[in-house]
Amino acid sequence: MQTLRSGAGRAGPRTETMANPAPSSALRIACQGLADDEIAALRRLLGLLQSHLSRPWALARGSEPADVVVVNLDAGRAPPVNANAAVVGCSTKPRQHPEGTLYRPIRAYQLLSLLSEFGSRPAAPETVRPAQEQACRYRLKHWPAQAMNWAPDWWAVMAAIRGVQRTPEEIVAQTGVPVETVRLCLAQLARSDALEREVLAASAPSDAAAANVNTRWRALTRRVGQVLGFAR
Amino acid sequence: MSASYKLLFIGEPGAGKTTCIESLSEISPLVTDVRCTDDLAQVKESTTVAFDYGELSLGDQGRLLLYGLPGQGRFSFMFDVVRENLLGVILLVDAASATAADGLGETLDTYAAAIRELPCVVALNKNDSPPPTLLADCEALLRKHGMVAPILLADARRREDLVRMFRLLFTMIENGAEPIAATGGMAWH
Repeated sequence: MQTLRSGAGRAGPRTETMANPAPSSALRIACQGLADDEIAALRRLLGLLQSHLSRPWALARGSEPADVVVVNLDAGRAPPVNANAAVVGCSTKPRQHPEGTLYRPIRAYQLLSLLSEFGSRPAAPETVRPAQEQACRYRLKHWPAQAMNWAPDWWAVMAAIRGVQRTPEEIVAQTGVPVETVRLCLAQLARSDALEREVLAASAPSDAAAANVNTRWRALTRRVGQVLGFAR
Repeated sequence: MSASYKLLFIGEPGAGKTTCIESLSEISPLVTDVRCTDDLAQVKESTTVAFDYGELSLGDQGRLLLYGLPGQGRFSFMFDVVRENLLGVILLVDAASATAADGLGETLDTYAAAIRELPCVVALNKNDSPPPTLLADCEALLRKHGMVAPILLADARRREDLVRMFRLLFTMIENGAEPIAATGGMAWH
């Protein structure tokens, strides 16, 4: 078992192209659900910020794996993102989303802060690098103090891995929380050093199918929520 | 016969167990407070010597039985009374006390082994802005005892704080349990 570091491996979501190839050592940022003009603006921002960053950054090209994935939370449900990339949401109303969500259009100062923080982290050992598409189980090491300000869906994700390792798919089956939300939460937990990760052997089966949503406790919680006034 | 589930409030004397149960219970709570005759008299007039008890009706879902247990080791035998059908635990800390972390430490020394797998919330009561060192001390105590639990600030006299506490605890209950079909009963990780 090992502690997850964001970006320990690279994910392979749909990525955008750029005209000039970046150095092979560059970290890659991919976008999901952003319009062409927003991607163009992001590319220009990266160019402007490059001299302020300790490591080179570039937009991921084609199927190139990414270290950071920026997801437009206003665009509805995003396709699944490999949790080995750091996932950051952006929205025109970021305060309606979990802490850490960026403004959309993306502000230079926020992007600089994000990439500086990410770029300053030590690289994971190469043995962990081929994590692309690796199946992993996650377990909560501790409940981060800032999590009290997170959305209740994120609490559900954390509850599901509080005492047991689960894959993202198993968390979805256990909680009913959308997979993209699960992955965003896992990425944030990883940044808070609150996550343990176990890479599954290629043949290891996932228990997602067996992990039915627990209807009994759901009904009980709903009833307590109605009595006390927090019913969803 | 309708189902009944139990929730447990545990804390040092003066942490707010009785206040929580009095705020939530739909029946007149059973309180086993007696007048303090020892050093504790300087802190509060009375203290719980057995357990507090209250109930919350859940309609067709049964009843929620609310128990308050002192955190001191000499009361630990009473845990066996409430163990069956216990859904979760709220650990109350008197955050206004100079020895708040010690109180939580004693509570965890006494109960951590029994409640480690249960959904659990730690509530820092009586102080809206406790010193950061207290939060760090509480986190360290939880880690020392192998517990993963959220810590939140709460005023046990405010119903909205109790509701927030319950919302968090029941989120843990709802999403942390094994499916009933797979276990044949309640099972917590």
